[in-house]
Formats: sequence, structure tokens, C-alpha cells
Amino acid sequence: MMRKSATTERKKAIEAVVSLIPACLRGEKQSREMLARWCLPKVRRTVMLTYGTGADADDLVQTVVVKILSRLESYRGDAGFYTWVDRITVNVIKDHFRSRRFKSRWELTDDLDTERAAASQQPDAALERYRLMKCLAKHLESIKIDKRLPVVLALSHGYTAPEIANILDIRVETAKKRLQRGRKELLALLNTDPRFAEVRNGWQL
Amino acid sequence: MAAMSGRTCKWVEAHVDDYLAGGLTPSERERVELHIATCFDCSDALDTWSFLRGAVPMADMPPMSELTERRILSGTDTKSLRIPSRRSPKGIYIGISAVAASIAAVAVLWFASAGGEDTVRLETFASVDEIEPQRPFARQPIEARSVEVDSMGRKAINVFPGTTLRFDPDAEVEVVGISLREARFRVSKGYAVAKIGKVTPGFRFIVETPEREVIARGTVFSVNVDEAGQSQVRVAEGAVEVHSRDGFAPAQLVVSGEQLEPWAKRPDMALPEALSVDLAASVGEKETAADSAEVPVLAVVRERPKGPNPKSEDTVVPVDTTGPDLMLKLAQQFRRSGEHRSAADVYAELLDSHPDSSEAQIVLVAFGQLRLNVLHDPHGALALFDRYLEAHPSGSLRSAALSGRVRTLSRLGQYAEVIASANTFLTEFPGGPASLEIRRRRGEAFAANGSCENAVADFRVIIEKWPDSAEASRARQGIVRCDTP
Repeated sequence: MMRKSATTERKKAIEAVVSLIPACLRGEKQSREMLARWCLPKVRRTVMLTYGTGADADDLVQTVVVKILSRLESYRGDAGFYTWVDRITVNVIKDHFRSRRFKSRWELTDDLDTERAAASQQPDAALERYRLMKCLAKHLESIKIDKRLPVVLALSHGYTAPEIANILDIRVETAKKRLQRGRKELLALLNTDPRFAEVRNGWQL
Repeated sequence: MAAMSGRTCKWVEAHVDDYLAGGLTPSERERVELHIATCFDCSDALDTWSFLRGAVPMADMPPMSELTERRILSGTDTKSLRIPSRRSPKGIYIGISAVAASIAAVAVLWFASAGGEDTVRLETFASVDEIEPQRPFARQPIEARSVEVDSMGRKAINVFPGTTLRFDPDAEVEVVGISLREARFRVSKGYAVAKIGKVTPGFRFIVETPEREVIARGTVFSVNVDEAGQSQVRVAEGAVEVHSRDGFAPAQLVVSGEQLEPWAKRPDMALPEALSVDLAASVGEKETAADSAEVPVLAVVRERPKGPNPKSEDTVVPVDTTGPDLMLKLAQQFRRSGEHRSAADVYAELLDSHPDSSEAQIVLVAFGQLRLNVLHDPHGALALFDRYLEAHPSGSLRSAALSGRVRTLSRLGQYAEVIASANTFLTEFPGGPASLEIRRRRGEAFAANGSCENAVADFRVIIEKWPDSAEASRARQGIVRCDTP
């Protein structure tokens, strides 16, 4: 029952965002900002796990958001809006890696919002959730981008292999193989990391 | 059997996602389940992947600063959206040099000195093409013609009309690069004032000092770098985002009227008593000296480009010059100023990057104590104490690690293990500073396990030997609880 209501909620949220598109195309500032705000966490998560953090990553996020808004006209509704956003995100990231001007970087900043964590019911849980992202991104960095992207899409957004193939514009079999290999590499790396074991043992939702 | 098992492992590996999504036929599902019941590797891999799939969507990302969010969202406000080009460097600069030239063609900004006495005609700033056509972010010493000097010797660089960086005669300033997206300067020494006027959305004005990076828009701010490379930031109008160049301190928003001091001048606060006592007693002079000495500012040295074609700044990874000793001091400084999360991160990084160092030994115990006493994470604390005890069975911090273990197990209510660990501690360190407390905890564990006789025996030892101590008070309460049916 819970899963059904979560799916319904998600559907409603997407419908609400899609309904902003006409206003965005008319150039209404508020609608554009609302749509950008909605996309921001999703885009950030993908960029963070695939590319890293820091000023360059923020630039990348901005590029994606701007591209999403500039290409709204081309959204036909044939793919889900989530998928369409992720496709743009992934293409921008791939362009960056292809240009070889930008290598992913995980900057060791302590960006944990200590006030937010302290104010939460379980500050240690908040700390562990942040540590998990950091641990994961650090290991993902050493996996080649063609395998990294499918893993990030699967973990971060729950996409299946056919959906990943659609987003990356590759064959389903290719997507499956890359996901499998990327996953194997990631799990091997996490297995040797005592910090991941600590995070996992201390994991609280 | 091994070959068969290998083939099955491969098959299971290929069908993990379908299995988790419920997309296998019943016989395929059974095949997976039979296999993971006997294959530890596949079972573990499946568990971990399943855990990640559930946990990653819930995991927190580093929060975005308000300034960064505004900057990103400000890009949505333009009617003609300009996407930062990521084509080849040549393509970018051919594209914008025409625009830059037209901006740079605006000839004059009259600059008035602070005293209003002299005015000097300001030369136009060189366009991007004139600085470095192919690599705008490469180092570029200031050319004399591009810098304006007033009668008092003060200098100014005009980026765009209304956007300037002015600095004292003895300041050391480099232009790192200027484009339509960003103006970046490096102040190695001395005093500089930045004023940012009307700029295109998304434009960044950045001043680097040895330890900080200051990012601003539409503000007036100053930086002052002293001989030791420590920098102070003061904001007169607007707001700036200040990042630590070495990445260990959190990013800060500094608004008008505020000023940010060098890292070394943070208020001195005492470490938690338990940590001070344990570390001071166990580690001795080195740690005590480190606690009381002023923390040196951590300087990050960017690798200087070598040869005729220096690498673009964008691909240079900062050279890490922070050894484990400085990291430990930084973490302690954070703890003194109450920034426990920052300290925790530095501890974790030290363990990750210098696991075999002597500092890592200290951190295993200190971090364990932090997790237990401040972050309320007894499981994490226990893991760290156990890690120390396993790796350094005869280490100098064994007493601290063992006592930490006892406290953690008490918190977790694992009384049998409390007793066992306390026995070990009291055998090895009968007269140590923590022996009173450990004995009391053992007594409480005995009581919780229903062994009141042993509990009272422990409590009586404490009361007889140290009747006025806080532990004796707790011991008396323990006796009362034991006597109460």
C-alpha cells in the first residue's frame, strides 16, 4: 500500500512540474525558477556521484539546469520527465569527460550542515548518510565513466537496465554489461574499505 | 564443482537486478536463492548492492550554499540562455575575444584616490586575447600597461567598468585569468580591495589567498594576507563565500559588516575532560604540547606549472601538503571551537590517508571518544576502539582504548562484555586514572546481570579507597540499588 501511495505521490509531483512547462516557455520567471528548483536536487545528485563536488561541479549543475530550460520546447512527453532530465544531465556530463578538460574531483570539504544534522532527531544518522555519499563517490571516481554512469543511474535513481539504455542511448545488452561490470568494480572497492563497513554498520534511517 | 560454481556466480551476477526487481521466473529465482545460500561472495555482494539501492536515495548530499544556489538559479532568469561553452579552448576564445575586445574597448575609468587629491587615467584592461589566447586560466604576471598606478603608488586592475581590484604598492598580486565568466586573482601578500559592479549573470569574481578562496558578486570586500600567509577577509557591501583552499574547513558566507579572521585565531576552548586526561596521560608530552601550541595555518601549495605549456588550472589537483601531524592539530582546533563534525571529518580523512602513521593511532582513540561522547554513536566508537586494540595490542593508548571500550559497551547495555573488558583493564591498569570509573562500571554491569554480590564488592572497594570521589558517590547509589529489592 505504501509503495502505491509513494508512486502516486511521485506521479502527482511530476504532473505538477510538467504543468509548469507552458508558463516556462512563455518566459515567466517564477515558473522557470520553480522548475529549476525542482530539477536541482536530482541533477546535483547525479553530478555529485559521477563527477564530484566543488566549483566545477556547480558549474556543471548550472549548465544542466540552463540546458533543461532552454530545451523545454523539445520535451514531447514521450519519455517520462524524470528520464528526460536525466538524459540531458548525462549528456552534459559525457560531453565534459569527452572534452578532457575536466577531470572529476572530489573535494574534501566538510559541507555537512552541522546545524541541520544537530537539529535532526538522530544527528549521528545524518552524519552516516553523508558519509555514505562521500564514501561512494570516492570509489566511483576510480571507475571508468562508461561504467560509472549506469551504476549511478541505477543506485541514485533506481533505473533498470532498459531505462539506462534509453537514457544513455545504447543497446540494452550493452547497458546490462556496463552496469554489471561497474557494479562488480564498485563492490570490490567497497569491500576493501573499512570506512564503508563502519558506515554500513552504523546505518540508521 | 568450482567451475560450476564460477559459472553460476556469473549467472547470478548477471541477473541481480532482475532478481531484486522481481523480474525472474520462479525457477530462476530459486536458482539464485539456492546459490546465495551456499556462496558467501555472491550473498555478500547481493546484500551490499541491495543495501546501496535502498540507502543511496536516502543519503544526504552536501548542502548547497545560498550563494551558489542563487548563482545557479540566476542563470534561469535570462531570456537568451547562454550555456557555458565546453568546446575546445581555441573555439571558446575565438568566440568571446570579439566580445571581450568590445568591452575592453571602453577606454577610461577615472580613478580617484582615497584622499580625492589625484586622479589618474586608468588604462583599459587587456582583453582575453591579449592576456593568454589559449589558456586564460594559466598563470599570468601582471603587465605594467594593464595596471593603473596612482600618485600614492596604489595599483588597480579594471576588469570591467565598475569592477576593479585595487591593492597596496607592496602587495603581491597575480592575475590568474579573466574571461566573460570569471575573473580570478591571487593575492600572496598584502592588502587588496575588490569592487564588483554590474556583471553578467553567472559571472564569478574570485580572489585566492594562500589559505582561502573568496567568491563574490556585487560586493565590496577586502583581503589582507600577512607575512605568514594568513588571511583576513572583510566585507563592506553584499556577501562573499569563503572556501578553505585545503578543503578541511567548512565554506562560510560572510556578509557586509562582518570579517573573517585567520584560522589560527579561533577562540580557545578546552577539550572534553575525558579526552584531555586520557590523551595527556597516555600520550605524554607530544600531545600536550600539541594541544597548547598555536595551530599553524595550513597552506595549500598549488603545483606550479612547469615547462612552456603549463597545464590548465582547471586540471591541476592541489598538492596536498597537510601531513598527519597538521591534520591532527586541525582536528583538535575544531574540537576546541566546538566544530565536532569538522573534527570528525578530519579524523576520518587522516585514518584514510595516513593509516599507518603514529597520528592515526591517536586518532583511532580520539575519534572513538568523540563518537561516543559527542556524536552519540556508540557502534562507531566501538569499531574504532576495537580497531586500535587489534592493530596495536601493546600500544601506548591501550589504556584509553580499553576504557573507551568499557564505556561504549556500558552505553550499549552489553554487560557481559563490559565485565570481560573491565576485567582486562583492571588487571593491566589497576592504578590508572580511569580505574575507579571502570571498576564502578563493572559493578553496575554485575548488578544489571543479577550478580549483586560482585557488584557490591566493586562498589565497596571504591568507597573504601576513595571515599570523597565522584565515583564513590555513584558507587553508593549502586549499593542502594542493589539493596533495593
